[in-house]
Amino acid sequence: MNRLEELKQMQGEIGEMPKELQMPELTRRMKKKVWRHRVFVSLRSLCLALIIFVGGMTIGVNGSRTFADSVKSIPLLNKLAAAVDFSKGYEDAVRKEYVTKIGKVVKTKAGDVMLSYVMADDSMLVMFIDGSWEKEGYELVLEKLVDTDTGKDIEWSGITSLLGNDKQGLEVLDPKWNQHHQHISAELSLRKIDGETSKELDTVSFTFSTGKKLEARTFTPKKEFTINGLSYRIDKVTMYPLSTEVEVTYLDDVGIDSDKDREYQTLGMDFTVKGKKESRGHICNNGLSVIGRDLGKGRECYYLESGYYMLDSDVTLSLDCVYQLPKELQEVTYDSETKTLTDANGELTDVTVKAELGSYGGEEGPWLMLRPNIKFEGAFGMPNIFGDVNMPNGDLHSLVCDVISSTSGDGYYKIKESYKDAEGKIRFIRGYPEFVEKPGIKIKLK
Amino acid sequence: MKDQEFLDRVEPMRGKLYAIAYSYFGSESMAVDAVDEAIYKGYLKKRQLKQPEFFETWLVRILINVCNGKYKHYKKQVGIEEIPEEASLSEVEGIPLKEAIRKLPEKYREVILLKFFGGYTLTEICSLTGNPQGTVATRLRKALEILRIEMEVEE
Repeated sequence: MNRLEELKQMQGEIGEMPKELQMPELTRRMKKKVWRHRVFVSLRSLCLALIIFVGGMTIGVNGSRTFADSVKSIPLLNKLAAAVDFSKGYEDAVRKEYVTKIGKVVKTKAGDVMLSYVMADDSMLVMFIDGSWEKEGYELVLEKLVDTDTGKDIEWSGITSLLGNDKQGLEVLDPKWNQHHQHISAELSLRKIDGETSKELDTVSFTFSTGKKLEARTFTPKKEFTINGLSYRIDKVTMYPLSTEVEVTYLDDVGIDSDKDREYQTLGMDFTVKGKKESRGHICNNGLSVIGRDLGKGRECYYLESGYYMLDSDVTLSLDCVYQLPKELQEVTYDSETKTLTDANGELTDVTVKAELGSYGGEEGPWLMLRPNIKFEGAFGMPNIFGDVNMPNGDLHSLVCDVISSTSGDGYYKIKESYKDAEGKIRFIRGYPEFVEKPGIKIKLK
Repeated sequence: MKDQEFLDRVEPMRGKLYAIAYSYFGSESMAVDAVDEAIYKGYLKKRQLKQPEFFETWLVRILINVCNGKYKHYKKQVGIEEIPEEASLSEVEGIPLKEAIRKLPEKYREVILLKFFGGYTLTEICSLTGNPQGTVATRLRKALEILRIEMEVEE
């Protein structure tokens, strides 16, 4: 075979595009990543604002500091706790000194980057990153984690980069993993954002030990319950020092993150871990229990703040909300003639078509401006009212709501001719629940 | 650029993005990872794109950066040793083309992958890599020479 034939063979090997890159699947993953990114960035900003407000508590590092000053500025534990006050679970762990001091500094072309402390358990690694590097216009990206005892790459997920939006402050990178690792090498890249893209300016490597870990506490309540005819079972609650995981089996349907066949009726659940005086719950303050590890079809892992340090007294797991959407209400039809929305119950009353706009934000439409008439609760405080559209050819096309006003709840959706069937109707897939049930189920864990 | 427009522009490009990423790693899962990351980064930075007509160039550039970053780790992992820039024909003699391409220095490999797997013209590769046409043509010619691929390079 000559080189040209080899080249053709290589081109042929690429084959068909994998299903992971089909638009609905790709958009779903992207939305999820973006949502998590936004939540974390906003929480970090909020946290920093509070620290600055308190005055004198600022743990930021001035850009003009020298290398020696950076080393001296390894924060005290109480300041670390303040830096993670977006998670009471992390805060507990810091206050209980479940932290390992690292204090390693790497000099980069944009200044010093310091790994000041780490916390780790079987569920995750939390890295406190500090330093005097010029943060604005830069991003620090976690590229790789290696277990230096085995030499193998560590699989991890979660937020992978610190965007250079915050000019000062201690930052947190907290990748989730499947088991604790003792000796680690973390590789990060410092990238300069140059307008269109970012370029790697430097690499930053830290080798460190995560210290002694505490074992998770596991409870297996196997609690079954039924809500509106749908049955569920809470199989397992695992409390790690840094997080809590609740594993649930949906006995009658599949969950929000297993939407391959669009059969789900349960959009989510909210849990809280309650101690004597305090409670720990949503990892994000928007009320949504973050969906954690993929347990397979029909099973979900909800990921909460850790309640580990409350286990010295009575602790209960409270199921606060279950969000359900009956299958027959999944589809909402928009009639472009009458400008109305209907579902299986008739004209939709939850959401009104406020306007169909020729253009919006300087961009040609048409745009559909929707206004919710109901107050969405908990996790669905600001939902993407319609997440997808059922195309006339049967394909599912992901929709992104361009703006949801936090005051009116208005959402803007760009619509296309190709969405419409022969009668000019568009079949949207609803993204908000019909039932927000508060079952009041409490399971005594200890 | 609005979210929906971003997705609409990404949709027809997915095949090309996948082909480029696949050619870097020869692995479906790594290619999907790279495309995913590039699209996510593009989405986060989409407001920085001032001229939407350059969307494709812009997103492919992001993908190339992602792939080059990942490729550095991949190389170490699988023990690929790049041949020196002044490499001659003998360096990859008798090696299957797939391996030979992976051993090429980054600047040569990039041009080959964009040309034969991205399907870009020389002029388009200039925009994608930010290099003048002469430089790209020289790199392509040199890469073809090392790989012993007999082909005319249009300038």
